[in-house]
Amino acid sequence: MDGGKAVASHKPVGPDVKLTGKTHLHDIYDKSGRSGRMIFIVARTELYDEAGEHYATCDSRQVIREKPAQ
Amino acid sequence: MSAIQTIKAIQTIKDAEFGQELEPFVPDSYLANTRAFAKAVKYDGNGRFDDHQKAEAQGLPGALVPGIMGMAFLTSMIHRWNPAAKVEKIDTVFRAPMMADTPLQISAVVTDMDEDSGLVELDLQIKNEANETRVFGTANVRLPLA
Repeated sequence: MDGGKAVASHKPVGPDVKLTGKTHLHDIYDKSGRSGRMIFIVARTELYDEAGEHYATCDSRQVIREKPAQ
Repeated sequence: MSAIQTIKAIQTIKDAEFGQELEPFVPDSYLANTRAFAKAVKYDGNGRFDDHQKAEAQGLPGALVPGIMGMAFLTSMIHRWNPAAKVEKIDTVFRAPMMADTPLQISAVVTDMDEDSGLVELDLQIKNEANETRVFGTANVRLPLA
């Protein structure tokens, strides 16, 4: 499931700016709670224009709940 | 210590105050709007955000409000508070789904501020009509100095 997102804006995006997103696996970590262990996978997307200017960094956290052993 | 105020709009960092609450609002989370948003961001096609029956067929309780639409509602509230504000970072945790066609309450409060730089930190929240938190997070916002 989608656990949340963080967006850091480095530069305002004007109309007609063509952006390219480059995404990589940024982090994997786990948290344990009453309902068991959850794995967080963070994919980081960085947005650039055609001149290579960096406009924004967006982190998307996907959460996977660990299934209990059978 | 002054009482916490709900403020509709401010001009500069000098108008902001620790503990100040931004004017809360109920966004348009009707299905027609989530459908339009999903189409605009190319989330459409699987029915999750635009059709209750298709969403239920996927095991969901109904059509959802996209999480990034919630972030847009929060950003919109910040810009109503200060139209010149620069939202430098917004970080949100999607604790539970926001349901389409269900009223949502958006709120924010000033939790930190630096008058010299104009930087303000806000705590953000989206609740449903049962007062259950659906989304929470923080925003780092730069306000005009003068």
